[in-house]
Amino acid sequence: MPKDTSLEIRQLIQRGFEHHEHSRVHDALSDWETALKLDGRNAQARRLVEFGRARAAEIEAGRHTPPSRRDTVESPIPQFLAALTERKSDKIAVPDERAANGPAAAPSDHALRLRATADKPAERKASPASETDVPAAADTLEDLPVHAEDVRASAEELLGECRTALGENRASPAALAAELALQLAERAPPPGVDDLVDPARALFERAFRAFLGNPHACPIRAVPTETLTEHGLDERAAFLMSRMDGMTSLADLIDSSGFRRFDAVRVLAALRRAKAIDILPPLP
Amino acid sequence: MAERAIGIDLGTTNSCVAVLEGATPTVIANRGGYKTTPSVVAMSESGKRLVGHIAKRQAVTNAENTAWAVKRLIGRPWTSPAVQAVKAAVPYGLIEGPHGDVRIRLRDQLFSVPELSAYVLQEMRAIAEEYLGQTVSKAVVTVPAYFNDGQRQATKDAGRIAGLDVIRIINEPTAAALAYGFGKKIDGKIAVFDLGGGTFDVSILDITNGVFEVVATAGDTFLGGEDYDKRLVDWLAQGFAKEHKVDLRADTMALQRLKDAAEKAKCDLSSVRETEINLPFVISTGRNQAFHLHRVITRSKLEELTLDLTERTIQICRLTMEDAGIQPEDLSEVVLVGGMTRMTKVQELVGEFFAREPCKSVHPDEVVAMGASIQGAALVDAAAAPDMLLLDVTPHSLGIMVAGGHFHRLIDRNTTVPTAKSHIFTTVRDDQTSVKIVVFQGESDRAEENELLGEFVLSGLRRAMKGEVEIEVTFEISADGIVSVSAQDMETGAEQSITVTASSGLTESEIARMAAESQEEMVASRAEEEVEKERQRIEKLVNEAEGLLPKVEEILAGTPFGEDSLDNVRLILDDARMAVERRDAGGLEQVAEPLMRTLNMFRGVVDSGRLRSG
Repeated sequence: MPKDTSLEIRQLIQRGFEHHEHSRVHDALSDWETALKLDGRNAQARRLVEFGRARAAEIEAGRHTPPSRRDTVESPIPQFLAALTERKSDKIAVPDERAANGPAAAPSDHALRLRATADKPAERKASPASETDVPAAADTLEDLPVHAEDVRASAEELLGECRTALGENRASPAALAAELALQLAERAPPPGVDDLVDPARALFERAFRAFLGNPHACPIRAVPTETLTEHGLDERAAFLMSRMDGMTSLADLIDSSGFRRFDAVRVLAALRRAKAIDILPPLP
Repeated sequence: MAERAIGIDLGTTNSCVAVLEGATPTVIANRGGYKTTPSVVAMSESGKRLVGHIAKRQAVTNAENTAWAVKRLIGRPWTSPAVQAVKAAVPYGLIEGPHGDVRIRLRDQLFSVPELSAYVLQEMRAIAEEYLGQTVSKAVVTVPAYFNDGQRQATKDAGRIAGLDVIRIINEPTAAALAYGFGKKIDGKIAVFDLGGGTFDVSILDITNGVFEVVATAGDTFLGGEDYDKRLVDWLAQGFAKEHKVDLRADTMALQRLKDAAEKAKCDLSSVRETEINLPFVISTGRNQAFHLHRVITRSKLEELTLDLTERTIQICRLTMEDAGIQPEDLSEVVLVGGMTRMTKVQELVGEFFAREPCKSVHPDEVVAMGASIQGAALVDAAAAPDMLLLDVTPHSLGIMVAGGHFHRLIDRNTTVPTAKSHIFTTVRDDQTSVKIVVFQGESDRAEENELLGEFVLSGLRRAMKGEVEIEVTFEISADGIVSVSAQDMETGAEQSITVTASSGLTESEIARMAAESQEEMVASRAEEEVEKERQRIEKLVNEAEGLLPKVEEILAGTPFGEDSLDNVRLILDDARMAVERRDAGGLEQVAEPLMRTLNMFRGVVDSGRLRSG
């Protein structure tokens, strides 16, 4: 059979992705450069080479640290949920990415006050163990001594924070507030906060989209898929990551995920927050 | 720029487009660098139409709204057994159309089969236009050699809906042979063994002095690469279930990944003896309980899993050769077509059966489109392929129903096309003014067991005693394999009016409407692309200007260039940012010029600031 160059190129690009997700940037770049040599018109190879070179230069200049398990695992959400059950804790901040990115950045000025307290008896059932223990994270708040009014107040504050941050073009805290509100709704004890959170889905979707940025940009995997559980992500995230090829745009990924659009946008935002993906600029 | 004709292999599973450049047929890669594009069309939740790879990649998770292998349905009436077989096998909805044809439901919309095929053709056209940098309107499209008139006509209709002038429909094995024999001196009989993604065909062609004649053809429309993939998927899923007690096939996301991985592994095993299938986090059964699939599969295992499929192709070859009265030693070459023929076991069994090493000089995925592009170039410009004459045969007998429901053959199968045959009809009653003729294609002596092509009503006959009026009806099969009918009163020479009642497919007005809609969508999509390009350009400019603004403010502080002017500049940037965010075409146009002016001013200020400080 004649040599199938396009197959060879695809294999090289794929191998490059594997190197990249294991932070072997130079190996990835080398594979992508070889692919580009095989077909100088291959747009995918060209963009990956540009991305790889820029990333290598950033690392060289100390402007980029490859994601390590420690910093990619970090998610405020388990901490937030735990905070809802803390006896003394009455405050948790929704971090602003600018604040997290370095000392020069401004601190978040939109700290959220979450009136989580165990002083009041839980409306439904309280777990005796939780009176004294502070769980690291909870699957549900139903078994925890959280007063429904506090959950409601927190949800309202998160909604407000999401709206305010979005209005001020602070996409990262807006998206985080949206995610927290959704998680709160998913875990809240009856009567729940769905009546507050559900009507705000359009707002949340806008927040997630703003956080994701240009819908025509193309994501690629930045960490191995098997580590996603450590980021608190599920198999939907793994599925979306398996679709990423550096050519498929965020918009196309959302459309072709087979998920409801809102879910796809939310999972992608979670992946971005966990730094599990890198985003390539849109195709020319 | 001279008009060029492209060649399109509109496949069941994948499609491919090529163009003749100089004396070389060039297969055109899509944006992803793939030279074949899945013949898959889907509708996303947001109502966006997805075509090609993107549609294929969500075919399992959005199964009900993803149409694939519609070629098996094209031009077939609803009552056809093939349609009912497809209906039972696919997750997308099929319903009967207004003309006894097939309609496909995706989301809440109904599509005719030619319409969905048109979306694939449109995609192929777009790929070619992007590569050539010019509009393409003429195309040669290939179809399986056994396609009947209805299927060929429906394929041509698909071309029209896609805005293409399908200048010729040619048989796939003919196209393959054309590409194989192009620029060579080939005489003799060749076999074309075509095992694609969803179908298998084998054809015997006789090539003499540039004349390509299909002498026999057969196949199986439900045998192809997907069946091989399925075996591999089942093997992987069963192994996983044994280990983890979880059936991956029950989860759409896991199944989609499994299918993708199986197809990739199958392809890999054509070049390596073993390969790894690695699907991290393929499924979870609860919080933080991720399962990974990791298996190694060898080439021999794949061969073992799929041996009966490969053997089935050989059985069909045996029957075809017997039917044509040809021995393997009568053949001068065996040409392999279709991605599945990369599989070593397929090559081995084909070699054994035909008692010769199959030809491996042509790309099996690309050869059909290449042949179509050669034919296209020859039709647009005879000098492109001098001395080339392409003759096909009709794969089915053409005839009419006569008294007693019998099938009266007018044109026998394997007759070289174009061809024409006339038949004299007379009236059977006094004062009879019309005659109804029912036309079929097929081989059965019972008319109803053949494929109904249409009903032709000869009307306006002059009143006379029975048997006095003689009408000559001429049946023609064009080089495309498409049937047409004309009628003439033998005595007066007057042309008779003929009414065609569609038995399947689309009416003329439906095709025109669909073509117009498709054209409008294409224009809108191009306009959308233009807006996006402009949005990206403006966004880049805004980012640069916003990046320079603090520096400019610093430099201009305390200068006569006052705060008012800076406010104006900030307003321009705000407007630009708003237009970018809203994707507002008018807004983008309005801000482009003042933004550019602002940016130039910023650059000048920053440069002069640098000079001063330097």
